[in-house]
Amino acid sequence: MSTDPLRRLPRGAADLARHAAVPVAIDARFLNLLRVNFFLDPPAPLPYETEADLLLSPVFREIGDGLYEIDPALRGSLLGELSARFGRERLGRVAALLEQYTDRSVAWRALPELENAQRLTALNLLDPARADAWLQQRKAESARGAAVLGHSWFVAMESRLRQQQSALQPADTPDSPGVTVAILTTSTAEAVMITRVLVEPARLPVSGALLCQVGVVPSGSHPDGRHRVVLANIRGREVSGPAVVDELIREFPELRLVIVTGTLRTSRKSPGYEVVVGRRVLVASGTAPEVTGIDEALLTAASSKDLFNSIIRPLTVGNEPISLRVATFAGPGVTPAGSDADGLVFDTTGPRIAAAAAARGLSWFIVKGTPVKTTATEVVADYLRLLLTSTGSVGRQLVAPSTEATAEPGSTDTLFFRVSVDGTQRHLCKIECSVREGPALRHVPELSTTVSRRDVPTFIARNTDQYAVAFGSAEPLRVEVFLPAELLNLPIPSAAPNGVPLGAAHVVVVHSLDRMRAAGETQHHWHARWAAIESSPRPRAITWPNLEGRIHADLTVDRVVLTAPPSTEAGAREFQASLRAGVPAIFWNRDPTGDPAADEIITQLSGEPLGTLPERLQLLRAANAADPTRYASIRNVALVWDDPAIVLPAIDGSGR
Amino acid sequence: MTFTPPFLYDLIDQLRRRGLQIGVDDCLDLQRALSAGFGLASGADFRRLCRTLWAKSAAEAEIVEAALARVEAPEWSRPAAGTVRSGSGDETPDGEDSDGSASAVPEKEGLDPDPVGPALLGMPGLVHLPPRTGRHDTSLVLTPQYPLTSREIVQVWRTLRRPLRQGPPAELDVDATLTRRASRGVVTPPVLVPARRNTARLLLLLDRNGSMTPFHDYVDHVRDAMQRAGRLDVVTVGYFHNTVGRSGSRPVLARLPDPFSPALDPVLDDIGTLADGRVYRDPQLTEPIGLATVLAGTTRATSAVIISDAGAARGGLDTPRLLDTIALIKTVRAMAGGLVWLNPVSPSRWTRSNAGQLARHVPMFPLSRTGMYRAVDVLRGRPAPLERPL
Repeated sequence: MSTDPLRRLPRGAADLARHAAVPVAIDARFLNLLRVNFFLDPPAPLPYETEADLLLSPVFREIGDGLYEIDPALRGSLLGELSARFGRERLGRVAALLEQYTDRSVAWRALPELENAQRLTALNLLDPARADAWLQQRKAESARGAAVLGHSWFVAMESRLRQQQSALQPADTPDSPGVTVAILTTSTAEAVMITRVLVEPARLPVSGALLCQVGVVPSGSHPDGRHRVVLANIRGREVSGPAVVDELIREFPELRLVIVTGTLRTSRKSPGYEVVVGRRVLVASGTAPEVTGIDEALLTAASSKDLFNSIIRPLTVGNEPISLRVATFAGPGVTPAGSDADGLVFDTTGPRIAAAAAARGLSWFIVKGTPVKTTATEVVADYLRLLLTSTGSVGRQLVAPSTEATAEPGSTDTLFFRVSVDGTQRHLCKIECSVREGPALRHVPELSTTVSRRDVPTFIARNTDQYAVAFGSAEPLRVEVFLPAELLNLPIPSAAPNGVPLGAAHVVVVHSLDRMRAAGETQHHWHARWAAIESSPRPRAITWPNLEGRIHADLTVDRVVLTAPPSTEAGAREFQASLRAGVPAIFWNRDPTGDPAADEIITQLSGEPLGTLPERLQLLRAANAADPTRYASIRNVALVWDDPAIVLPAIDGSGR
Repeated sequence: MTFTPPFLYDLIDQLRRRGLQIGVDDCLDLQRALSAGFGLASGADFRRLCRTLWAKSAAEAEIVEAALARVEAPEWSRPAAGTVRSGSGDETPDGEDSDGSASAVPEKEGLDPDPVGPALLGMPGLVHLPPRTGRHDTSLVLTPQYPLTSREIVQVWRTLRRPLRQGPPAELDVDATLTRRASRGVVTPPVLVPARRNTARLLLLLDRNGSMTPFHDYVDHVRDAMQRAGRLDVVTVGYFHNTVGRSGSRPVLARLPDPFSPALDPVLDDIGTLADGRVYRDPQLTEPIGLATVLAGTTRATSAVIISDAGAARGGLDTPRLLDTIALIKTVRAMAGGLVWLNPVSPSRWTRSNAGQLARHVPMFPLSRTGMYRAVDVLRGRPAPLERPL
């Protein structure tokens, strides 16, 4: 399971799911009886629609004959929660209902294995000793071939009943030691990613992790009953982050760690974090569009020995203490801070890093070097898993540095330019600039001004070059430009005040300002398509006139090629439709006559992975910058590239 | 002033929530019966009285029994007096009188004989079944409950009428008889006319399997009630899965200007009828029959009803399927008098699915009481406001 399947259920349906976990398989009628018997009366009556919602949710899998089953691990977890929340008496009543329904229903009569499994399950819940005695006796008979049911049935049932018992065990021992980690985020995309990438591969003790829309979150418990992760997504809620943290701490007194991600940290409206920082709140920055909060959280944790010792290490409850000291690697040529460190976390890449680590005799290090951000997060997840599960020194290299990898977006300094057209003087454009250096995002008032529309590309290019020179950055910068639809056709990457086109020297990413400001419906499409693309990450392009099969319902389409620039009527219509549909990459040919060489480049790019498109385009521009003829065609290639997790940098630098 | 035991309010609430609309008259009936000495011998006797008064079917009796167990109605027993018999339940209505001590045992969580229940006896070859739990909870209801009762559904569809005088003359036409007698001045035989018959026919097309699986029981319940309703002339039922057939008009999709817009409006008129659709006679979809054969039996007196979620349950937006469905609708409407769509998923979920688009073209209503009344209104000729009628 990549995400918690309970989180999208309607209110109250999770409790119905917990009841539905009692039978080994369920049909719609039994689910109806569960609702009629346990969820028709106050305080929590459920409507009929909940039944279908639940059966069609990821909690259940249809297995034919109108039957549905729950994944065994989830079922164990739900059974434990049923017992913990409603008590053994309720468990007994559901078991009795199962037996009485099995007696009466003809539906299962034709499936003796199922019918007997249901009976045995009910008996096991009410009288485990009798169930076990019967099972052992019949199993022995079946081994001799003397039973009607096959031996495999008895073996499978024995395993299931054992799982059932172990799932119910923790409810009886609520005081067993455990760890609770809360992750507080404002980004739905990031919350999904955390669940999928961090929780699952890290094998954090988490089943039942919950994603909810408000600060107060119900708890979910792991099948082993000891640990849990609480995931609180407060995106779009008018609640204060520190208030939610306080609430979490009140709700979960055993809470060890709160990781705050998204845009909460740097918001000036939320100054209260400092009160709890150092106790158990780990603050992570997620203000820059490409930076995932979890990356930052772990980097922050690793870079502060105090934080690490007081927060991360105590997570290894029950294990041997990890002998681990960490330091950060600030960059090539810079000596890592903390001379006694035996670990290193850094966020650049290349063989130089490995050499530097080896020169310092560091026994392990983490490399965040690959361009796909989920990979970096997986590394961090691996790191956290090791911290939680290792019984000794973490003495291995987690990920070898990739010599081919380009710099990860989050590791590069990034300039943000937000351009808007003046309301009255339409030929003037207002430009706001922010810079992200490391985890910090700051507004740059000296680069924020009003210029003529035609000077926008030159202004951006010149100031980017000046920034690169002033701060001695040899690496390509990342330039994120947010443009309204009417300016999207501006050839910003081709502006070359110093002879070298901006898009050749730096990675220029053009975003649509309209998308950032779009209504909730559009944002919904964005998140839906992005989630589909992430689950099926392969290039899927559509060229506008190619309408074979109607693909609007195909959420895996991740790029569109327009027939005309958005500055034309046809292009604007196509662009808006693509924007509404949430397509993350939109290409077009700037040449109104249709430069065939540009079309060919677009076709080539259409096969590239979505996440690397801006970098690929930059490499292409850099490689052909010296050839005016060839570059003229590249100049005609326009790309708007977007990600629903990207937020608009605000003037105050808060990231909103 | 009459004393009302507190549990009675809770009991009536429980029953009303489970579809038994117990009213003041029903309570007065109970009061009169108690005053007359019925139901006083024991708790079991009282429960039997409630069942007798309020339940009109075995399923309702079970609901009454379960509700009484839930509210923990008082248990008592006293020596059986005279004519009042303290029966222990419907199972032995004609059995010997049970004494007070026997009925004092609460039924809740009573022990069942071990090990084999009556339902299991017919299973050949399985003599060593798992032992029974020994727990029988009478407070549990084993009768499914749907948003509408059969009675409510019948009430709605009874209003779908197309009365016509058909068949052999059997009713006396008083006016015609008197007129003829007066005009001729001699004794004339009575004038007989055929009796009025409801000639309304119903064609039910039911979507099965897939996202409709959770709704099977409810749809079957609705279907059974509709078949019983109002003595309709003919009720034909056909089943299908997702679509009835692939439309030959799919190439028109390529003419759509915007591939991301789910609307088919620009090519709506170019979608033809379905040439070779197929439905099934049985809900298991094992006996196929041509749609043309089914539609051959339809007349202008036939009202067509499609029950399907149209992708709303899972939020599916599938344009080719939408086109196929529109082709089906056009085919059926060409033959039948009217067509409505009943969707078991609530309207709030129709958007961003084929249901949202279909509701722009055909009258689509939720499978609720109000929705069905509105559907019948449309079938009787009341125009339905549609954004883009076919």
